[in-house]
Amino acid sequence: MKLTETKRIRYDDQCKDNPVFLRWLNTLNGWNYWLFSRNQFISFSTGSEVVFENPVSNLETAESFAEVLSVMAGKGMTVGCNGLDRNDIEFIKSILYSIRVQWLFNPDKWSTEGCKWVTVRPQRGNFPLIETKEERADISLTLIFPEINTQNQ
Amino acid sequence: MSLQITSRPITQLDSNNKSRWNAAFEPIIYSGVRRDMSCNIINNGGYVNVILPSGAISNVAVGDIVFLITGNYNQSATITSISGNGFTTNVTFTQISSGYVNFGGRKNYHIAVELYKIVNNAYVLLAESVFRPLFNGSFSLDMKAMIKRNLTFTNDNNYTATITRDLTSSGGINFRMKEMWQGSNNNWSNFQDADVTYYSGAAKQLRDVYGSNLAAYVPMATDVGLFNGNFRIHGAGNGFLFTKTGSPITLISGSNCVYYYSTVITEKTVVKSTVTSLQRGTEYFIVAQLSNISNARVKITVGSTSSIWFNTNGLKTLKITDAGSPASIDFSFTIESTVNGYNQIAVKYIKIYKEENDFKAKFLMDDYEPTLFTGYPFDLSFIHSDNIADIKVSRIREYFKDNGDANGSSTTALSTLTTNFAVNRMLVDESTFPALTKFIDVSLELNAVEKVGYSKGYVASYTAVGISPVQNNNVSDL
Repeated sequence: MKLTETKRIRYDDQCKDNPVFLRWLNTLNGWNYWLFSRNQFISFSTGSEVVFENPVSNLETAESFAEVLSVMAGKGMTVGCNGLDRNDIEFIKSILYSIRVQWLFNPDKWSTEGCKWVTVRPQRGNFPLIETKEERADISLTLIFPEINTQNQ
Repeated sequence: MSLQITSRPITQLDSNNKSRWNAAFEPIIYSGVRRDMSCNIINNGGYVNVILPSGAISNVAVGDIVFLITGNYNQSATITSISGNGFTTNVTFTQISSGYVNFGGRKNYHIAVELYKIVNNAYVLLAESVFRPLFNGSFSLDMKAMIKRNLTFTNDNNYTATITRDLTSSGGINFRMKEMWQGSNNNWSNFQDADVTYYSGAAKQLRDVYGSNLAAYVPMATDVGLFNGNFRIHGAGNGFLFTKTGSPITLISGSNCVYYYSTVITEKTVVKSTVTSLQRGTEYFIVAQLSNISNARVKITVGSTSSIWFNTNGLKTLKITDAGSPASIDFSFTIESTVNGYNQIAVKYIKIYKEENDFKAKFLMDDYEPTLFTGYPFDLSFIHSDNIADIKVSRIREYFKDNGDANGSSTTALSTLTTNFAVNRMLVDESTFPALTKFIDVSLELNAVEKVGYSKGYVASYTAVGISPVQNNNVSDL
């Protein structure tokens, strides 16, 4: 007796360069998986610098006028896929509103040392997805990685 | 306890199947009524006079406001005088009636609720909250907030086990209530099995079928029912049948055995199904529980198809297809002596499951085809529900080539634990994929029946984490 629907899974047996493997929670408490590959844009942003102005009494011996108290820094990565069909576009779209997106930290070794996941955040915003008259489209989105811990005071 | 739950967050699909599963991010509402005391209403000088049960008059005082829920009185009333077991109010009398009265004099009346999660068949305190009924006594308990704040999304799947149970974002709940007001001294209510429901950390969308209930995602075994006594004795023939006590034979019984005496080792059809609701063209699983077998064996026969001989106690199954008479599928039990002389066998239960299921649960994913990338982990989530507590489940994988040709299949029995109903993460690994596989069709199938007559009740033992079940009598400072 069939207890469930029959779920068709596509099998992609091609090896990929520069893999970025994600899993994310969908709205039904299931998890979706996708492998981005080939090329990604890495960006790096810093900001929120807080500076302490150093009173200088002796210019000859002073080391600075200002010292950094804290700074925020973090990596961003823009991932994408070309020529996706409607099914895959809809599927990947659900990353954008997922409340929990995770990146596989050890894509080469997960099968021997266990999966190590790092929670990332997709950059929210307005994404053109697909034209209704088209069957295929490209998609790209930016993942914000956890901030770098610095010696913030 | 004068609190009654009148509706629960359960969706009834048909007479056999209901879904107790709800999305944790939508309201999960139990509603009920407060009924403080039964009463009768009589006339006292043109005003309503309320007669309370003996000894209950101490609940009220002159000047108190009460709420009447009787016949055509559904309103508040102020007590003007008290006499004997009754009190007179300022409401004009119209007719004699009986019903209930709620005492407005109970200051700061509220309902304390303790929400428990079912873990390993025991209750563990999850959260506490306070609810207040409307003045007419109706109240609703929304469990959403309490569940939400105890829910985390950690997919602990290590992608090696076929099944991983997720009890952090799903599970079963039950609750108990206590009426409280200033100076009250009440006990907690008992846990009711009927109140058990389940949640999964899902959010539903506008226009979703079944609303916030997850009925579309709950696997259900369409069982035709438990047959008890719907059989007739086919004939004794050589040898004879009798019961030990001499009473009429009831083969399908929890206590009666069929005693079969024969001077020769011979097989004899002893009972035939008289159930006519089984239809041709449909496959069924017949499940029989045998016990008390001694020097005998039994087989189930449908048309020309027979099971093997069963000579041990326990659950026995046979899948039946078209056979028997045109109108229905008849099946029979044949008993054979294995030793000359005194033999016995008891068929305790027969349960029949329909092969074709009317409800096919969805996996926890919208209607798209996901992709499994070679060398990377993948799982599909489904609800392991109380509705399939009796049965074992298999994962079916059917493989297809790029051109759509079938490329083999594999079946894996799942180790599903029937005490923790929860969202399960089911591994789909590529280790056994045949060459040229491009698509995999995954589904769950009934594998075998594990037990019959499974009790869905829960042990009301609770692990006291930060609470002790001692009443809080003094609520005046709330």
